[in-house]
Amino acid sequence: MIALENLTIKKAHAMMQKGALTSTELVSACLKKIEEKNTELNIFLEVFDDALDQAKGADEIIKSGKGTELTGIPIAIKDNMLITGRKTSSASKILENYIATYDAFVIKKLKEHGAVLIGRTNMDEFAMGSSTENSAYGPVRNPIDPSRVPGGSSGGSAAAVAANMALGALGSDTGSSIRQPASLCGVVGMKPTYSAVSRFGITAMASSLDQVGPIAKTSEDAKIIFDCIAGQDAMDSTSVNFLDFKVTPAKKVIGVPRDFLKEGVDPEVLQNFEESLEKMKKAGYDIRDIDMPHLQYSLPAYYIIMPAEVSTNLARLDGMRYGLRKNGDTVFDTFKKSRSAGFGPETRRRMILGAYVLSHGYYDAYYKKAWALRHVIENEFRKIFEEVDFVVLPTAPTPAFKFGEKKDPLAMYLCDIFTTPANIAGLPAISVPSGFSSSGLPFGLQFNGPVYSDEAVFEISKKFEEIKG
Amino acid sequence: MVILEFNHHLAPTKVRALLLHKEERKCYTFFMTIQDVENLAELAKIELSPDEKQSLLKDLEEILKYVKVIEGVEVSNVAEEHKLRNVWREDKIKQWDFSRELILKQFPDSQDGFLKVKKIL
Repeated sequence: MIALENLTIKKAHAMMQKGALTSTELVSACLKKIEEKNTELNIFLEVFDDALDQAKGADEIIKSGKGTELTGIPIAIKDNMLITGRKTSSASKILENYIATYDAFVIKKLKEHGAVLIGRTNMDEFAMGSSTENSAYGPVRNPIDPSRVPGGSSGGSAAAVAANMALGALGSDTGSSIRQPASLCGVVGMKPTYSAVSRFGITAMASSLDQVGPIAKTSEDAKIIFDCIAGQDAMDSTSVNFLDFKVTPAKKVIGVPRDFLKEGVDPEVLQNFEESLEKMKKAGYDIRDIDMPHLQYSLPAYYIIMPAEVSTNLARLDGMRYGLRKNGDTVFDTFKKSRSAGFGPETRRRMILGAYVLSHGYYDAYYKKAWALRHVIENEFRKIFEEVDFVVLPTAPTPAFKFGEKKDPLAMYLCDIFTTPANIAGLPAISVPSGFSSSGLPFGLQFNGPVYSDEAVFEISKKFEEIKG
Repeated sequence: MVILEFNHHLAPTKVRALLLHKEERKCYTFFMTIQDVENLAELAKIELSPDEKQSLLKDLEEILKYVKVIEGVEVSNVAEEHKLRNVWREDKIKQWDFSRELILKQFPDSQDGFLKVKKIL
């Protein structure tokens, strides 16, 4: 029997190279875990019926000596990434029976490497939420404590890795959605620089903020996935080859925006954060307090820009060309009936909020101002990166919380306080496990690097894993 | 100035909801009215139940109150340039690997390979 608990992509690859493990054995072991636990944890919305066939194919590739580090590795896919011929619902009723007509760029890449797509994971509807409680298919339970949320929106992907149902996963991150669930489930999650990974074939939420990234057990594994999915794609007009712009900070000076940590942070989170900084200091890092007065406006600016983009992006779901259609008397009635039957409460809330901030008379006060602030925050980061190599923050203000604990939408939004700056400024940022609370819940430490310093972000995170011990 | 009969057993949000019900909005800075919510729902092509309108109004009030902090921030002389790059491609006809068959299958209603919708005009 394979001990999946300590198995990483790196180790599994080495074992497969030596013939000590086959992809078929590995995928079978993951499928067994899914069979045992998925009814309780609700992580996978669908387990792909051809997973073992893919594994057999991967075993052939490995035998022929043409495999890469991802060949034969079971990867879980968030339910907002298109895979030809498979359902992609974004955990919404409006796309319940939608079947993808092409592969997302990142899926095409994984297939080229012979990775095994094991299934699609549960999430908050259209990636809007921080707990998966907004899924139309019921929430995911945190494998570490099933009475608690796994975080969101990529809660299923983070939980799949934490529950050893896959060795890695893809998530998408618009304001926190890779890093926060990774933190709450005790795994590594990385949001790449905006434009480093193509968004082609990802259900759009907020196009100027969305980014696909890896979730894995270690920083090294996350980087293996990132290296596979990054790259320029003609189908995403913002996509570039990030290596053309590569930035390599010295990786010695770590900035701490202390003023930003004053309010609303769980005392245990703060204590763990301070302990992590102390460990880095002992390991020779220069830890400096920095002043970033506009960082606090990232979240309010985010909650203007994001819903504005959501309201325009989701306007395409009208029951006409695909997705749920509920017929009304006129074409407009059909739009309304289809959208009302298909969208859940949080999605409606954000579309209506988006319509408001974009409406005549409010556009200048909200949307335009938020964009101006976005530039201010970008500039503030640019300036601070002349002084420090990374900006470090806790990933989330609290560890995993109980179901139903955050009933008020604003309370849920505040979960994203430390993660939205990276999306607002387009930075690469990683959440790495940094210890456990007194009740055994994981904490995450977050490194934010300059734009296109993705490789350095993986390196500092790996260093922290070593230092942390 | 409107003087309110204040019930201390009620949470502030509840008080506001009551206020709204009585249409005594003058003493609070309200961002929206039920009518606004209805107009926005119409724009977003969403049908809302009366209860949902009320709770949405309350939620939107809270959210707008929160995001409103940006109003007081000075942002003069901000460079409007953005580092995002537009990546262009030649405007040439090219065969993509989309499956026509799969796309047609997604149509909720069709006739002879055409998408069927209610008449628009």
